[in-house]
Amino acid sequence: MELLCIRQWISGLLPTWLSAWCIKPVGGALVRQEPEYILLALMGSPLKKIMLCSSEKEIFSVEEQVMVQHSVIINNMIEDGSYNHEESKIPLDCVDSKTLKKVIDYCTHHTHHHNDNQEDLEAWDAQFLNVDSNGLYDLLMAANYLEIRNLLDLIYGTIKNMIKGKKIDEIRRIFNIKDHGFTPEEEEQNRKEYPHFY
Amino acid sequence: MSRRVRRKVARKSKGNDVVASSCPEIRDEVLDLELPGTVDWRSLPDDTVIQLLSCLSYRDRASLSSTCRTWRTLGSSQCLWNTLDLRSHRFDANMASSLAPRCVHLQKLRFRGAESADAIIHLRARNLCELSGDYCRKITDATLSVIAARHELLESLQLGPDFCERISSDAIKAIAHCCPRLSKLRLSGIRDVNADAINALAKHCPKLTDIGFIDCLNVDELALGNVMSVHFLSVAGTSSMKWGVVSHLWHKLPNLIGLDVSRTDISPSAVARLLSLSQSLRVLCALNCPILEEDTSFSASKYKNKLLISLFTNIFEGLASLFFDSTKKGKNVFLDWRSSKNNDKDLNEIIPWLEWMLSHTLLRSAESPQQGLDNFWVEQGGALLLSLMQSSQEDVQERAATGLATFVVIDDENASIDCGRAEAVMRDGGIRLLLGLAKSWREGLQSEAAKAIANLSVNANVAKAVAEEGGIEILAGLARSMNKLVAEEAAGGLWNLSVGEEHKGAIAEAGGIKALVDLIFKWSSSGDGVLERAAGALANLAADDKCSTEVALAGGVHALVMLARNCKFEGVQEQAARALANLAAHGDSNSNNAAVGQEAGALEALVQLTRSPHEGVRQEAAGALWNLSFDDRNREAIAAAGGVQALVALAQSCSNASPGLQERAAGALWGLSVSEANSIAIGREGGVAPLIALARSEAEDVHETAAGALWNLAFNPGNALRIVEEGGVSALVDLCSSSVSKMARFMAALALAYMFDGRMDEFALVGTGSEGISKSVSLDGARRMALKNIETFVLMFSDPQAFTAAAASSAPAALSQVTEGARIQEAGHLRCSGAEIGRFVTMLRNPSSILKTCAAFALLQFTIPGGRHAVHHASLMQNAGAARVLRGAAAAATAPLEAKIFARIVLRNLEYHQIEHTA
Repeated sequence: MELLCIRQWISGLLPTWLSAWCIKPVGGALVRQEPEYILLALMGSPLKKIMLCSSEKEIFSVEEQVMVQHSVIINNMIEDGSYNHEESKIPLDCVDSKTLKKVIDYCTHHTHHHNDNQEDLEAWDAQFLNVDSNGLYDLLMAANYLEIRNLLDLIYGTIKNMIKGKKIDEIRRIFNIKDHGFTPEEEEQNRKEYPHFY
Repeated sequence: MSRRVRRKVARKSKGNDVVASSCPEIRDEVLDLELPGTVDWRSLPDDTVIQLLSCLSYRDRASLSSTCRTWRTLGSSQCLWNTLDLRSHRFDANMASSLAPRCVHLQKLRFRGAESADAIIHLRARNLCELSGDYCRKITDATLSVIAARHELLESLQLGPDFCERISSDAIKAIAHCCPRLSKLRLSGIRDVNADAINALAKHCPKLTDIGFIDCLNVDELALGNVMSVHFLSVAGTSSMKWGVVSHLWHKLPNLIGLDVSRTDISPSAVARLLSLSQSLRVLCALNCPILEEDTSFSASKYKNKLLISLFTNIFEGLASLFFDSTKKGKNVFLDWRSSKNNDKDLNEIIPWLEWMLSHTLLRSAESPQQGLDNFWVEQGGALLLSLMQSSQEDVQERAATGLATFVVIDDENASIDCGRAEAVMRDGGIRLLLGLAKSWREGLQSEAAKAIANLSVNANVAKAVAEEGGIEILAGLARSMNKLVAEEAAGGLWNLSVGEEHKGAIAEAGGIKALVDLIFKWSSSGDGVLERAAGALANLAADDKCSTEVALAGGVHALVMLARNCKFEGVQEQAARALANLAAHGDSNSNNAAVGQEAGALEALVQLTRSPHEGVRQEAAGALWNLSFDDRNREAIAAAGGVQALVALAQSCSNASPGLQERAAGALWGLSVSEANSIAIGREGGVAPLIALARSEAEDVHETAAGALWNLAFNPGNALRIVEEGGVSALVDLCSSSVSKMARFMAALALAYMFDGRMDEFALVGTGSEGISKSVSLDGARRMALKNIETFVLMFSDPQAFTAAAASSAPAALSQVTEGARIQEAGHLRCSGAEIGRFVTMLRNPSSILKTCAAFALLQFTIPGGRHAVHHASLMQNAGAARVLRGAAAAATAPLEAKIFARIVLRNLEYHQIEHTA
């Protein structure tokens, strides 16, 4: 049921993407190569690259396999042939460069280190998610947009721990909720019912 | 002052049930999220919020949904309320009514206890399909009938594993009439399931394919033969079955695929008949059936395509044979089955049923330990439970974990577990598996896995493995859970792990100490189990010097004192008192001892606890007072709180008690009697006689502490006289001459020396007038006997050769040799007051050469460099001007050689300490 919701949401967005492909990036777009991939390329493995374009129109070149493995959306695009390796860039208008770079880091690490022992991976993940509230929000949005299942689970798990056992006001502070929209009576009711689960 | 650490296994509890999911539990990393961000998270897409809500516990879900209106609406989404697990919540009609609007589409409900059952109808969850309850001993026909009537769509109803003793056939009939879609009915412990009830089920529930009448007293087997729809039938543990009827009827059930007759008295012939005659039967589960197992000639291999599961068959191989695929072998059949894309429809029903029944039977068998199952547990049972722990059915997983927690325990009272079984679990990778479950976000699984880890950790090897696999961090995390059951089992795990010295630091590092202290505050008013475990764990941790400081820093002193003062549960009182005792066991090395005493009401509460009806509580309270009396101010405060009377009463009443209690009762009096005022009070209250009785105890720890107490008491001449009058001289003489403990002998000798250095005689003469003469006559005999024994005792530590060498030369080496021969290691822990030291110094001039020697010998013990209080004693002696007296004794012509040499050594010790001091 929950999965269904996501699919509907994403399919609603696809047309925008298609139209975006026709627009050439304005000005000289910056192509950034991640050093790791250059190294791999030098070693002679002909790795297919795809281009991802952030909201700032910065272009990231990523090993195709890395993204296909993790992102359901990109996997679908590659599979149904809607991505042309010669010309296309995948515009990710709601993901800024900083977040996109992190997402790529995550996918890359988990592609190349998936055989590492669980503890090391967990430690890496914990370090990876050591970001502020805004950063976590951006990552969550990006992971959701790209449908990266294990990153989503990781973020949900983190948020879960953040709010575990916290009081309503503490949670509001974490999520920066200033206008809750409850009437004072409802607020009172919340506080009364809160000790149970509502 | 000794530290006391005890291990304890968490008590077994009945099997419970719950589901695993993909949401990983992450270690609490430091996230800088306290700083408010700038993004308003309310702009998250709805589906993301719903997914997030679905990973949360009900409590957190409620809090998150109460943060704003948008999320409140999302929090009521029906997809979040398909299933409800109420087991760890107090569920009543009010709560049910507040949940009702969200539960219109509730499919699945789990509850605990008859009170929750009464509230279920208030949920108005008309679409409920699955209902499962445990701890339902008190659920009544009326409740169950109403539940059935209000939930007509019910497809599955399970009550157990506790016996539902109050349910009768009437309720089953009501279920049959009200729930035509019923397909699964499993009930435990019903007294009588009669033909009427079963026939009603057969008639009105055409879809009923899965029946379990488990642990019932009577089931009408004839009527069961009429339920044509049944595919799976269990009568496990049901007594007085007529197996003749069964074997002639049930093979005719056309659809019967699986039959469970475990834990019954089924005969080999009935098994043979069912296996050979039934066309449809594929699995017959007959674990733990004594009559079948006795027949060694019985073989099930001749029944083709039919599987018999029993103690004497290889269960894993048998299960693998169900696949008709010989490649699947080994101990992961259930896992293999799930990962294979098997299209055998039967098998897709058989395996889940089998998992459920096996987990149930294994748990039941583990709960009532029997002879002769050892091999089974080590070879198959443990591995089966591990395999079942990976089931996709949450209740099976939980039961398997509970089973693991239970089957390793041999004796609940002594907290002993079976090493063979524990190590079998470890060998099969059980620790990693259990820790994995503990990390799942389902609270039911967390608590059962934590319980299993706790019980297994009684074994030191397992505890080591748990620590190495990161278990301490996981348990410390679970101890912070808002769910009481989870926190309780996690605290139990930390309790057992904290027995190992090497784990204490790791627990502290993982934040375990803070978590445990917080637990006490969180559940201070309810929950004896969680409080007992938390206090027990803190008690073990407090035995470590460094950890005890951390316990105090985390607010542990206040928490534990609060428990000692307010908690009514004896188990909690005992552990709280033990924890306070251990906290105070570090003497001067930290300030905990004084801190406990300064906590309001602490000492009064402990004094009160020494009057508890529970022996363990009395023991730990006395132990705490013993340790606390190390601090001068505490000692006086304890006396002011009535400690003297209470402890004397305790000593008087403990003649038949355990050595542990006797030791601590005597020890506490020892501690109090350090001040002469208390000493006099103890004598006045009648403390002398019971201490003499304890001094006669066989147990070394008991008579050692009693000797210590009598030594302190004897300092006061009035008490010394009482000791003589109560027949204490012979007791002390016996100790002095024959105890296995050097310390006991030493202290007994010193007590006798105090008694006969002359002060008591003055007291006796002044005090009693005309009777004085007859007394002094009887005293003379006692005095001679005492002095003789003191002499023998001191001479034991005097090697004549070393003395001759020392007398001949003044070389330090010779004196050192004498010191080494005379040294009593444990005496270094004794601390004397200025008055006591002064008395020994005076004794150096006593006319009796034996007492002279004894005094020099005692002063030698108290000043040996390296002794814990040697510096303290040396300075007391400097103040008393002892050096001059010692020089006199060392040079005296009349004194015996031993006295002179000992005195020289003491002088040398003093010089040593003075140099140390000035340097």
